[in-house]
Amino acid sequence: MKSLRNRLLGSAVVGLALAAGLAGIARPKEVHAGEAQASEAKALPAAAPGGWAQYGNNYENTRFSSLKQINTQNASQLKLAYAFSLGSLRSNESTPLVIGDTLYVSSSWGPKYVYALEAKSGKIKWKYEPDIPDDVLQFACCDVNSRGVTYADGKIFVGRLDGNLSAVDAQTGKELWTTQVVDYKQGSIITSPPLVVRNLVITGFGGGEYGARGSLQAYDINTGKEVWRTYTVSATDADGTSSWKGDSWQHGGGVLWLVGSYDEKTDTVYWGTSNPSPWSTAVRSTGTSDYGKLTNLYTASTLAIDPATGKIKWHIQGTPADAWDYDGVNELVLADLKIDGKETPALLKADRNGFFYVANRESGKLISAEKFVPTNWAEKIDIATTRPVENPEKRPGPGHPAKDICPNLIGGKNWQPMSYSPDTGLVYIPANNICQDMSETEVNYRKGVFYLGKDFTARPGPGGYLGDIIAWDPVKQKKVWDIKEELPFNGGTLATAGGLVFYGTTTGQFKAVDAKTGSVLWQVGVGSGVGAAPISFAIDGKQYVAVVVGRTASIPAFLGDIGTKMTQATPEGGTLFVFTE
Amino acid sequence: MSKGPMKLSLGVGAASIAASMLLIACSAAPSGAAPAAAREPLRICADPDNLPFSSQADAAPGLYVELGKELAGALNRSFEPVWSLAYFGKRTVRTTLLAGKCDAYIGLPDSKDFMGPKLIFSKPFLNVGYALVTNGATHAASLADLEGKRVAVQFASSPQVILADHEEIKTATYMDPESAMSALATGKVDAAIIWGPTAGYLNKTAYRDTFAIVPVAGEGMQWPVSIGFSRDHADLRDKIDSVIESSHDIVAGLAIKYGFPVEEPVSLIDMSGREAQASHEITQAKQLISLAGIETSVADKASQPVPAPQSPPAVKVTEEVQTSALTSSATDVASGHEIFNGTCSHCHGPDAIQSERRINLRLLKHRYGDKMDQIFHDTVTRGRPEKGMPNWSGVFSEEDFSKILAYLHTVQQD
Repeated sequence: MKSLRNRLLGSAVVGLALAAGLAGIARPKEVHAGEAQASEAKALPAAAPGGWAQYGNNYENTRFSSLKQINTQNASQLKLAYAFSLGSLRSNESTPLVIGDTLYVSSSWGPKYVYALEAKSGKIKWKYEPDIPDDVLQFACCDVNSRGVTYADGKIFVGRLDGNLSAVDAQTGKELWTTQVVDYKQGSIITSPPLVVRNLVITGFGGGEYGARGSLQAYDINTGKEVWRTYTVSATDADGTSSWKGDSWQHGGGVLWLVGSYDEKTDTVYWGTSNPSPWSTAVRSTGTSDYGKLTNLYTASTLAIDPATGKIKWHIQGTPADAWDYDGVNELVLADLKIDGKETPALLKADRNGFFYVANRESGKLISAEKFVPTNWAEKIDIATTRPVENPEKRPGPGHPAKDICPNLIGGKNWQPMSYSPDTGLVYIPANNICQDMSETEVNYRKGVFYLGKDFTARPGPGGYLGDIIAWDPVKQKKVWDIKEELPFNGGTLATAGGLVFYGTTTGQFKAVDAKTGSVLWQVGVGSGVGAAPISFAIDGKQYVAVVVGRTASIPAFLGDIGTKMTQATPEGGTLFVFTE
Repeated sequence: MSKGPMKLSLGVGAASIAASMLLIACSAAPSGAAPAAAREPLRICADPDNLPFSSQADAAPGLYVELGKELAGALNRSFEPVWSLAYFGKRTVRTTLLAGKCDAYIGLPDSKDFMGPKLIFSKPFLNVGYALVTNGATHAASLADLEGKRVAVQFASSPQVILADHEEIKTATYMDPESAMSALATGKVDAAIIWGPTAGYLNKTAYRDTFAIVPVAGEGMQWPVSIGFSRDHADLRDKIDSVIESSHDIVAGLAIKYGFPVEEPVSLIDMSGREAQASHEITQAKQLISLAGIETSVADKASQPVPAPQSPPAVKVTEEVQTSALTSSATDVASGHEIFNGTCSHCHGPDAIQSERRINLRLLKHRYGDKMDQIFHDTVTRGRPEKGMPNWSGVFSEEDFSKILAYLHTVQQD
């Protein structure tokens, strides 16, 4: 017994276990026992054609709905089925789930609420209100968002801003367990839904800029007990060499704040990691493009992980020794593509760094990487080594400001999810077109302490537009069509078997477009900016399209005049809209 | 640490010159409070848990809050603090000051680059920055002296960037100055280059002035600090500017009260830079401030060469001691008593005698029963900023907390 803290922690663990045990005993019905057994085999329901099973609809994160009742012929007839106020304003980024006849949706601020609704009417079945501390906004770098919840094994899993992960009974909304993933007071929060594989609930957390050491953590689906934890940054990497200078790895970032994907065939989880920290590259690398071994693994990377153990199988680092805040967190979409005549199990990523990556998800071999937005920090990605061929002038460093870097720090694509249609073979990317100047000289302030932070001045990229919805051919690695949007940070996309792509904009328009041509077939004002991606589902043979509305409030602060335009375009909001024919 | 005697000890004649030791020189401005504004409160935004700068605790409100009260008084306005945590500084300024929730924000970096033209500043009233902190065993005045040494730096700070280019120095990175000071006190590092005001305050309040603290010169090391206003409130800014000069003696006294380093910044690159950088005015002011009889222990320690003693400093804690911390021996109780009276008594009363029930720690057992230990630990490690109780993690070790608790167990009343 070394310290008071240990002693107290010991008793707290006993208390928790006791509480968990009591909760189990107190549960009146036996219905969950069967489900618990089922969880051993497979916790998640298959992507039922009429439902929306998880964040990306399926483990592959394709956001493709096989429903086609609403199609290119009748999309112009879409009407409101119902609207539902989420009771919480700003940064509503949730992807709703539809399991059976129930729609589950979370609001922002914690989430402040998770609702179970009758999916066809919007009538409330239950409401879950986690106990979120008042001061949590202080520690949320990029707003009080929630991107949704996860369903498995009769439970709803909620990642929370206060660093906790909760399990809630999907029937009743009663909290089953809550476990601390990370201390939010270190600037680490959870904004994305976890990934459930078999009996494990897997989650990361945010806060890469603020000195966190990234890790992915797995919890038992029934108890919330931690099963494994894999650090993404360490003193030495898998090959035994060090990719960090000094002790910088201890606060090296590489957090996993967005969502994972899962390939059942090879039993592999895929997850992207954030940029390294601190800002100053000299602290953790050489400060130049000649970074040698100091690449800061496994930050700004795609990781392939064994879900049973958490072991990292392989990695592809998109931006070694990152100096631009090119997080590598963007979702991995798994698709089987015919490349050079061969059926290829592919993994697709539209990276913040402006390159669209196609890799073999089984071997970990990079197949191709091409620019999908105006990008000048690197000429190309060397496929054999996966290393970017950098333009050294565009790498900011100590005493070396860089001008007109594209893309800017929000990236060619940010968190807003893309979709993949197996019908068209295209990926629909909500892209940004912003460039920036960057230097490491701006004075900043935090709790009485002054320090030099990164100065970044954003401006529109080539062509003057700021947002771009791109239909991208991942095999040919080229643009098929695009829709230029006046503002950046538009919502994620949904592709359907009805030949449609749906998305919302920062200006508060919700659109249905032809997946083959990009012609806008229908649009409607929804009152606030849209960041979330739409979903589609069917109840009693009727197809619906749903989207959560409520624009971001914090991101505009990173974008100067562009940010002002974003906040002036619409008021804050928080509404679920559900449309049908 | 009452502020009365401190202020009195500042001779009026010496004050204005003394002030310039700490302060940026300011030109005289006509005084004259606007009668129209009389009795209207002056709302100052401040972090409720951020000593030595600001705190909700009445006993030690911090330099910025005490200055705010003085300025409000000088403008014939009442003082109204608006509490807001400042974890993300710019966001806090944007959502409080620039959202109209307060009239002024004391303690911002006086730089046009800080938040652009929407923010305007008073005349600077103080310089703040990073400082080299050493114990008696490690005398250092330049980077060359630190060769082979373990040096604590703060995450993402200028010293961290500079030391990254000096592989001969082994840096240890900490998230905040509190944990860096703790590492220094427990012998995990030999020196620290961290945020000076916090280091100075902790040295004074938690480490019994064990350490020598010298401000460090160089790019990104020192800044003038001002009061920030929304650009719509240039009139208020002008009024503050008209009275801030006469507050210089108060600032000087407060800086010493709260342990802000008062030495002139020294370049670590070149020891001889010390003389080169010292301005004549500063040296003169320093002599006068000494004449005025102000306690200058920090400055004195820093300016005198500290011989390397054989015995470790008083607060050095070895790992062996930590492992036996829970035995609650008489030594622990005595040691806890000493720590309590050195720090906690500030609010909770010497020997934990406190007539105000709300903060009477002799009632912990009575109030919390078996949960007393848990609640004690939660409170000291998380703080209750809304009630004025700071978070003491990083200032005190777990072992210290155990000792304080051991002492408190001996004084519980029914």
